[in-house]
This record gives sequence, C-alpha cells and structure tokens, in this order.
Amino acid sequence: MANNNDGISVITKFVDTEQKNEILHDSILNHMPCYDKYKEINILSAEDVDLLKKFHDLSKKEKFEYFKENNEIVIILFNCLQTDFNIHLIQYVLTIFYEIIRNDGSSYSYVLSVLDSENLYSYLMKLCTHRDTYISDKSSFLLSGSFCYNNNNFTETQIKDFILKIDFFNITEEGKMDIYINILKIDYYRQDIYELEEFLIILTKNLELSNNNANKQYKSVFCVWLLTFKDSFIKKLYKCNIITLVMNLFKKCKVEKIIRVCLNIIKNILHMDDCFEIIVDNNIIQTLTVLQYDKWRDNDIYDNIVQLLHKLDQRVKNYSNFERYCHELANGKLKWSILHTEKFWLENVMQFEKNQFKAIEQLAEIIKKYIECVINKGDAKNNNEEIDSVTVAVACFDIGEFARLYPNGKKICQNFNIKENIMILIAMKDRDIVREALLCAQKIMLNNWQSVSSTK
Amino acid sequence: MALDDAEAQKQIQQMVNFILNEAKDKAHEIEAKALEDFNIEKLRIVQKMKEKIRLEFQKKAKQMEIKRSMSRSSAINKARLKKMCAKDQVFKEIYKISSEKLAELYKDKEKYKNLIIDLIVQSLYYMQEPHVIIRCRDVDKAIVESCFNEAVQKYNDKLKTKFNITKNVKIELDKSGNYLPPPPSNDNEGKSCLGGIILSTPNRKINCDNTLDVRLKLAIEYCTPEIKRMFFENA
Repeated sequence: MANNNDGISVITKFVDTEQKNEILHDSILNHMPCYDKYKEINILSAEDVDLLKKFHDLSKKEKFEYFKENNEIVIILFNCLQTDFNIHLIQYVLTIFYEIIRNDGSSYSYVLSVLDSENLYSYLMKLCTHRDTYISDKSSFLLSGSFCYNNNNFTETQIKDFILKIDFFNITEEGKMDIYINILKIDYYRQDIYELEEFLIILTKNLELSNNNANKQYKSVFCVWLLTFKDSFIKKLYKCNIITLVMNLFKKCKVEKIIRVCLNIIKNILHMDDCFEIIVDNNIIQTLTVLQYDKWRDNDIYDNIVQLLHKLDQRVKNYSNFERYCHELANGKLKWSILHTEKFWLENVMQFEKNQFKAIEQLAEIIKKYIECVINKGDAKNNNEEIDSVTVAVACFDIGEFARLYPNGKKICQNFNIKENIMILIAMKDRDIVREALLCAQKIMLNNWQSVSSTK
Repeated sequence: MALDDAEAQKQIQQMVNFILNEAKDKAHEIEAKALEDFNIEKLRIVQKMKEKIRLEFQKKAKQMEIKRSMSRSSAINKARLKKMCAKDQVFKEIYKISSEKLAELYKDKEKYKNLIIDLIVQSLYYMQEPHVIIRCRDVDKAIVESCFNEAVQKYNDKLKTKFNITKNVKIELDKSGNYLPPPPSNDNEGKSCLGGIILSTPNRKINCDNTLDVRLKLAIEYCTPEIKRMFFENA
C-alpha cells in the first residue's frame, strides 16, 4: 500500500508539472495577439491579418489540419518571428509550432519544405538568446528538432555553431535537455554533445534518486538511451558511472515512461560484459520479475519486460559458469553474486572435483588466513593481505553448499580441516560471518537421512 | 464529497491531457527508435552497394589490365614481324644489287673465262663422272666451249697433286638447244640466268647446278651471319 501511495504522489507531481505547462500553453494560445496594431503600422498586410484572425478562431484540432494543408499560414506565422514584434506574438507563434510538432513529428519535413532554411536558422538562432526563457526554450527546441529531422538542409558549421552556443542560450535546464535529446538523435553529432562540459554534469545531477523532478529524470534517461546505441558511448557511460545511476533509478522509480526508457537502455547494453555485470549485481532480473505484475497504462510494457527477462536469462546462462568462479577465487575477493547461489551450486557442483578439489582447498585457505589475520591482529601490523569479511562469509556459504550437494562432500571437507576453522569462525564478531559459519556447520554435520534412505 | 460538475469536468480534462501527453511522449520515443533503425539500415545498404561497386570496378580494372597486356603483346608481335620483314627486305636488296653486279660480269671476257673454268672444275669434282654434258647460256656458248680443254687439264692437275690419280673425263656441250635462259634485262619478264654452267650426266639423271644464280644464293646464305652482323648490330 505504501508503494501505491508513493506512486500516486509521483504521478500527481507529474500531472502538476504537466498541467502547469498546459495551462501556460493554453493561456498563450487563447489570447489572440493584437494583429490590428500591426496592420496599422503596416508591418502585416490586411489579408495576412484576416487570415491570422481566422486561424486563431479555429479549435485546436482544426488549427492542426488547416496548418497542414495551407502553406501560406506557415509562411505568415513564421514571418511574425522577426523580433520587432512583441513578446506575446512571438510566444504565440512558437507555441503553435510547438504544439503541431508535438502532435505529429513529420511536420518538421513539411515546415522545412515550405520555409527557407537559412531564414529559419537565422530567426531562431536570434530568438534563442531572447531574454524571455519561454521563447528561448521553444525556439531552441524547434531549431534542434529541425536539425535532427532534416539535417541535410543545414550545414555542418551551422549545427556545430549551435551546439557550441547551447550554454549561452537563455534557456531552462529542461530546455537544455530537450536540445540534447534532439541532437543526440543524429549520430554524427553525438560526440559533440557528449563533449560539452555541462552535459555529463546535468545528466548525473538529474539521475540522482534524490531528484524529485520526474520530467527531468525522464529526459536524462532519454539522453542516456540515445547514447547507448553506440558501443563506444556505452563504455564511456560505464566509466562515468552513469550506467550504475540508471540502474539504481530503475530499481526505485515507478514512473511509467522512465521505466519504459530504462527497459530500452537495458536491452541496448546487455551485450557488453561489464554492463551485464552491473545488471546482475543489482539484481535487475528480480526487479523485472516484480514489475511484470504491476499495473501499467501502456500495454506494450508487459511484452517488453517479458522479452527482456528472456534475453537476460539466456545471457545469465552463458555467464555464470565454473570458469568465472575459479577466476573470482583466484582474485582472492569473493562477492555475493549469482555465482554464490544455490542455483549455481546445483548446476556446477560436480565441476569442483577438478584438480583434486583445488577450489575447495582455496576456500579453506581463505578461512584459515582470515583466522590467522584476526589472531595476529593484535601483534603485527602486517596487513598487506587483508581478507575482508564478505569474502569469508561467501566462502563459508560455498563450502556449506558443496558439503551438502556433492556426494562425498563431508568427507572431503574433513581432508581440509574445515570443521575446526568453521567452529572458530562461529565465535567471531562479524554477524554475517557468524551466520554463514553456523549455516555451514549445520550443513557439514547434519545428514539428509531421508535422501540417504531413498538411495538405498 | 460529490464534486460539482465544473470540478469534475476540469479533473477529467486534466486526466485526458495527461494521458495525451504520455502518448505524445511514447510517440516521440518510437520516432527516435525508428530514426536510429533507419540510419542503421541505410548505412548497411550503403555499405553493401559500395562493396558491390568496388567489386565491379575491380573486375573492370582487371579486364582493362588484360586488354592492355593483350594489345601490348600483339603490338610487340607486329613490331617483330615488321622487323623481320625489314631484315628480309635488306637481304632482297643485297640479292638484287649483287645480281645486277653479277649480270655485268660476263662482259669482262677474261675474268669470265677464268670463272667458267673454275666452275667446271668444281662441278667435275662433285660429279666424278667420266662423261658429262654442259649446259650454258646462249650468249656464253663460245666462251664455254673454249674452256673445255683448260678445265680438264686443271682438273687432272688437281687430282694428281692431291690424290695422285688421273681420271679421264669427257666434256660435251649440250647442243640440243636446251640453253639456259638469257641474261636478265628490262625486256624479258620470264626466267633469266646470270651466267655459269650446269653439268649433267648424259642420261640427265645427275645434275650439278653451278650457275651464278645458285652460287649467289649459296653465297648469301653462307654470309648471312656476317651480313647480319654488319647491318643489324646496334653497337
């Protein structure tokens, strides 16, 4: 129940921000700009003004249709963007363009075919540095969108110029992220955006769990998703820890659209080994299984989750194997992961007899060394090979599983003097170690008489 | 807690707007994915076509190479043939000039007589026949006949000094009118003879052709290396 309340509160917050935007847009659109004044000053012709007035009286849907079918209104509206006009008119025009494009992304091609791209670029660039942030936001959004959908109409210098000037535009952070999203869709300029100083800072800030603005989180996650299409960027993001942040967000967040984009991100990064490790370490598989049973508004999400689970399962099978276990053991540091679960042991226990139970011997070594370390801690400060408690706990668990599952496990453990060491461990201070040691001792000493009798 | 109509309407409108916005966001995501897929597919197709064109041009280049080497070798062949023809031409020239010179030879009676004597002696050596018949040109008739005795004498002398034997040999001029063709001139197109004699046995079975034409041909053949060295050596 607590979860649901959180969910609802997030959604209401979400609705609030969306509402604010809607209200702002509507207020701008509902108020007709003073076209007559311009007719008097002769900046706009009489027919233009009539057309504009007629356009204003149409309902939203009719506006969209009319816009699509008539070139003149596009040209006239666009000409109103010259800065001599007052703020309200410019806001009005920009809002109209924005709404139309939000409604149907292919309008970009239509608009660009009607208007001259040089003019578009120069007008909108000028507006991006306007003192009113609403205007700058919308104009930079429109311009970056035009780059993305029709980047043949603009030269490379124009686009690169725009990218470099992003930091100087008078825009909100959300507006900035919108620009990032738009330009990250173009593969050629991904590197340029990534190299902007502010980019990573903004991303990291907004991916933090403490950030409450779901909209900004959504946009940051969207940016990350667009970067994960290319392997080189996945590596870079992994190094900057952004992948870890995203996984954390995914586990805790309940907002549908963020989950959706995160699912896409996971799908994109699963083939990279180190990212896959993060996925596994964060127990994403479990999170996904739980998410399957949540109620989503979007029906496709269920399918996405199931597909992703399936892919992850396949990958996990390839990933958890005995070799990796030996590798980890050789490193000397063990961590809780899928290699130390009952499932792993059930599948792989027979492989541990290789090299005359070398692996078990190594595990016994770890425990012995730890005990020696603790005993000698008082005397010498010789701590160059300190074994941490997690490793010991994991080692205990593994020994226990081996003893339980392998046919002659208990006898073999006797060969390595494990019982004595485990007894000593039970008296340790660390609670995790004590717990694991107790369980291990249990597994070593008790026999499953029922299974023994059934084999007879 | 009944909301009045306006409130309810407002809330419904809000939810509607919210859902619409969510839908627009999803549409945006789908577009972004579609754009990416499109770019990947486009790149793939462009690569494929580039590869195809590259292969095509490689093939064309190879074909041009083959054509070039073919035409090169045929040009070399042609040049070689031309060279051979030119060399042949040189030999023909030599033959012509020598023939012309030889054709004048019979005018110098003294020299010509000595020559005929030597020719007869040589032929006698080759033939080793007791009775031979000599054919000559119509114009040489007189000279040749006058040589007979001297020739036989010389022949016997040589045999005696070298091998210490004597042979009796009888020489006769062919009177059957079977003369060798006349000397070459601009009028007669047919066969011509530069001079010299042909010896044969009476039954015409063994012939020794010692005409100047034949000797010229033999001489040129014999001197071919020398001629080649003189005319065709570049250094």
